[in-house]
Amino acid sequence: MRASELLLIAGTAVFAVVLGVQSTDFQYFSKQGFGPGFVPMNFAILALLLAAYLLIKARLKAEGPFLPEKISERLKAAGPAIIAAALLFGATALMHFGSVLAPLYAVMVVISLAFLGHSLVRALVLNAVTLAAIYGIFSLWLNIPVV
Amino acid sequence: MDALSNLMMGFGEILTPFNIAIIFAAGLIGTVVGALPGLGPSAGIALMLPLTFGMPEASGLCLLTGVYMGTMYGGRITSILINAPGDAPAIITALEGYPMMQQGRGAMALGISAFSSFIGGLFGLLVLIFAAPIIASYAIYLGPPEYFLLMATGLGTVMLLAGDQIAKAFLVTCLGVLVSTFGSDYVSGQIRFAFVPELIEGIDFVAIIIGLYGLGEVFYNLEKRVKLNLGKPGFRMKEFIPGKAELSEAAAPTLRGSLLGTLIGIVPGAGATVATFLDYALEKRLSKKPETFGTGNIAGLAGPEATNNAAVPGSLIPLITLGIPGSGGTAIMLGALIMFGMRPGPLLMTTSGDIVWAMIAGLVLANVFLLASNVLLIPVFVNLLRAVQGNLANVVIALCVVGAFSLAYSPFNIWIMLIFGVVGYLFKKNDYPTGPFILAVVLAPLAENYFRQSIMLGQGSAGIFLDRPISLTILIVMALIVVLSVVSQIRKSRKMRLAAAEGE
Repeated sequence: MRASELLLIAGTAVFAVVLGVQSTDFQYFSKQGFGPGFVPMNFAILALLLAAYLLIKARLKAEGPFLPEKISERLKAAGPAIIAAALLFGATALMHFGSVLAPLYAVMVVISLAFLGHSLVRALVLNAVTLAAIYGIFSLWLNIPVV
Repeated sequence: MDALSNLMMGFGEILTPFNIAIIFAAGLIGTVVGALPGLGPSAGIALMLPLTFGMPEASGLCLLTGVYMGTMYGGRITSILINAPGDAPAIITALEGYPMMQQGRGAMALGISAFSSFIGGLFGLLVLIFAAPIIASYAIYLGPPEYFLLMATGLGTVMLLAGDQIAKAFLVTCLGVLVSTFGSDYVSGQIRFAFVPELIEGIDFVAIIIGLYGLGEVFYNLEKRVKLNLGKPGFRMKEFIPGKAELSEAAAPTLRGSLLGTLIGIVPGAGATVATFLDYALEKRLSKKPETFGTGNIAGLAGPEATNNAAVPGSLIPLITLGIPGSGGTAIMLGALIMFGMRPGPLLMTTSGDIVWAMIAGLVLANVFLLASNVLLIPVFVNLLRAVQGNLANVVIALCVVGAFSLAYSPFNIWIMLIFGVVGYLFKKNDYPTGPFILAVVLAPLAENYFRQSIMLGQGSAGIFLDRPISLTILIVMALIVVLSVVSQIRKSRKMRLAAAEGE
């Protein structure tokens, strides 16, 4: 099984467990009908069952080892996506200081340099032009306070 | 005649310089987005959604439907020029259009496909104009049990969107339902799962779709090191206009495709992709020279092109009249209608008829604009694509981040968008369908409310669904859809097994 699929199924299962447990705080059923706990509880259980089914199905189908191997190679292959996501998470944390476009610009320049093969000057100019166009549309035209 | 007078009223609403500019821009933007490999109607509408904030409802909806229609036109450009379909319905276009390009008839392929797209769109719109009010007039007799069953039918189309991945589709559907339960419960008024104060109003649907489609695609393409190479088109204008011989060869397939596209577009869950594949099979079966299919056959190009554009107005019929989205794109349109404070469903034509008719009039106008722009401005589109192709990832990232920020002017929705960007990347990497997830996020809260209201109406008994004739009929139809889907899946897997056994 692929590490990314295992991560997806495990993440979904954990999410379902958290909501399933939390949903016990809400009424499931009363004389008049179903309460706010009905849907999350049932769908959390269903999601867990389906996650287990997919794991068992993958285990039975697997001819070699079930758990993913050569993790470091796979991480290396997925590197651009992981790094881009990490950069964006970091930039979003910085956006709480007031500016959206400044951290975004920094991320775009890094992505340009690292993954799109741009030179430093090209990365700086191209992304500045892109953000200027977006600033024009969102801030100047639509009055959305993006700075 | 009522439909025509309503349509005229709609035209009265939209024929202002601002709205005409919006519709024209929407068509162009949709064409460009549709032409970008990997970005289809869902992504196009999702990316444009933040631009509609603060706009009047009619203008906003004209923008979104114009983009929707435009993506269907645009999907064919990169299919024909570089054999890279912009979206799923354009896959068939590449099968016949690219060989024409290789034979030096690429310009003609673009011209024929533009005309077929126009006829298909027009046919679908005529059906939408005349059939939607009739369906809506019967729809006012529906109550919570019927609403619930209609929503459940929409959710049931998960099986149609799932393809071969039924278990995966059900898992993502459950995930979508769970995501939709955050925030206020409309029936009891209680707040569910508000781990942080921003979640009191739930998770914003727009942030989810921007992340899932836009950012998820970027992460995937960065990993696969996808690089566009659009080359140099260099066509002359007259080469785009089909002559009499080509038009007569394309006429019958275009009409057949228009009819099939509209009919399949109406069926929730089927959508333009399924319709184009069915139409291609039909044209091949009807052709006197089926062996020429795959080598640049005009009928094989024109029919499916008309089909995918006719499916757009077709899929709007169940959305407008019943509140059921028939595809990923219309699921997002449903979210947009809710965002504008409208109540999608049988009463929409009554309570917001002026806005709906303005939207339909906008679609008619968009279709005319799109024919003109797609014939005349193709070199411009291609060069625009060429201008941003080297930095496409960053353009999409910037639009996603700023778009998510615009939802509530806070970075919270950027976090949500990023999380669903990662989810979208994992979905794509592991072949998990996104359609069922989106359908669940949009429909589950409505379905839950109507279900619980129905049970309350039935004083705690589910028998209310069987007591009412319309709800009973919907239940029977649902059961038939499920049985037919299961039977077709079993048949398909049996055929595959037999084929595999014969191969051995």
